[in-house]
Amino acid sequence: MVQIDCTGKTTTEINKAIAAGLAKDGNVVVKNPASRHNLGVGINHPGKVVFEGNVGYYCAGMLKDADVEIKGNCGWSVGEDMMSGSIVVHGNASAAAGAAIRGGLLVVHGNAGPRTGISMKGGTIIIGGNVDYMSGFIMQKGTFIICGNTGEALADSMYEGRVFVRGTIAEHGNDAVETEMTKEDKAMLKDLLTKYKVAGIPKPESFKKIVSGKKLYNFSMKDYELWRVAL
Amino acid sequence: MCGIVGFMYKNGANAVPLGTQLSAMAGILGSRGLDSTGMAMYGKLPSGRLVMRAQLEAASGDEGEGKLGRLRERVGTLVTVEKASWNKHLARLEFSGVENPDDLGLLRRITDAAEAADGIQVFSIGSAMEIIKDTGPASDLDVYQVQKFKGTHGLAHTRLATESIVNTCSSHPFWARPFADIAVVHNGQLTNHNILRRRFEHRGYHFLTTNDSEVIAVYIADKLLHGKTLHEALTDSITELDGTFTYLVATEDSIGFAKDRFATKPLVIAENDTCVALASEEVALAPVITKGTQVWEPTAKTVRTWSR
Repeated sequence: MVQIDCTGKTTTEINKAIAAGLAKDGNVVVKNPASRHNLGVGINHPGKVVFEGNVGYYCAGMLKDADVEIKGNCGWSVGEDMMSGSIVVHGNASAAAGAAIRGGLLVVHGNAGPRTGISMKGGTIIIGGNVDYMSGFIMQKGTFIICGNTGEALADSMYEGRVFVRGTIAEHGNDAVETEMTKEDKAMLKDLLTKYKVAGIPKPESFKKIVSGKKLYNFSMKDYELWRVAL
Repeated sequence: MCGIVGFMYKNGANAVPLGTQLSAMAGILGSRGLDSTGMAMYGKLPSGRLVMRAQLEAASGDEGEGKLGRLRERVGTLVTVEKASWNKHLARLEFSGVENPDDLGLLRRITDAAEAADGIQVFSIGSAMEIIKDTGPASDLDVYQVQKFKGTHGLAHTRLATESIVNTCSSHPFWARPFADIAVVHNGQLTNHNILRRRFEHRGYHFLTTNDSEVIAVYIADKLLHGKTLHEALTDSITELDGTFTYLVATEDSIGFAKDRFATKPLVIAENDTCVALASEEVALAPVITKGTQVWEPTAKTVRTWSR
């Protein structure tokens, strides 16, 4: 195991040390991250990276192959543009967690902020607590699981993908509609929630499933009002 | 992008001066804006006293002393000037014998008299509040001895200018002129500030700048004048102010915040038995986060106040 103490190091030095540690040992522990920004950005080597404390903005952005654990809170856009691998946040996440991910898995055990999972293009996001305004906006692919409540405009203008919500939905976004869960959905929820022990492992039956109504695919005068207010 | 900071000692002034706490947090948030930095600090003066902070530009010590003397004379026709000093760009005057610190007529007359000559511009008047602001990073405020300011609560701001020019007057915090002890720091842009400003001007309010954030200060103060609580005023602002904002407001005994319905601008709150601290980024809260401190982030459309 390679230990890196962030104190007194520049962000570039820390991130280079993480890359070197993964190549050498495959197991990296980052101490005293002190809510600093841009830690662990661009990791693209298999292995495990643990941040022992709170991290700032853009942690583990563009992640590929590695498994990242954050033992604390994280700031804006954790795991932005993740391609593969996994990120587990034990505390809360701020705005735009998992923005535009293409693959991989993001788990936040606490609450997440506004615009969580905005423009998802694949992968899976699991939030143990609540999400705020406009989460899942223009989702294009992937799976987004919310064990708590949502803010307004949930999954507004989503194209594809599936959203599961256990708590109350403050407001459905435009063209985000509820549908029946399939057997496969329930099995997937059970597997993921059990594996990552999220939110006390709620029953799959307690979730609602949200998908795209696909009314925004092609313009129709019938849907004029929907088009007028869609963001 | 701007950095905003709020801080309150819950049980009176602390061994660590208020100014030291605000300086440390504003210094960290320099990464969100280095155009200018400012603080509104609250330390209650004895009854009947008011303190004024004003911009006083001078090319030499003699010129500064001359301007300060004339400022003292002009304001001295309205109130007794107990102390007057000047340093770099800022003057500080302390008045006594003020029967009612909330007499808006008197506060307006003091402001007008101060600004009548020599390009003086008043930054704040209050029975506790002093606004100190300048262009440049937080360390540029050390010359004003901010680190030594002992007080109970306050605001700080690091600015990346989007609305109005970069100069000392357009720096935050903004005073709700002429209301004593009310200040605002804001991160975001309002889109209806010109309409609001015109309405307020028709009702006799004067603004120092064309900045959107200055309008928020007067907006809140006007609500308080008409009997709303600070919490009610902040709640009204969620729908009545248009645009993006997370802003903090401070009064003689309270601080509070409002976050817009889009949750566009960040805010993280740390609270324990000793203090509550609010900042744009968690990294700035490090100086006050001790074991047992609760740290959380408010959601869209949230308001909250703390009072001493």
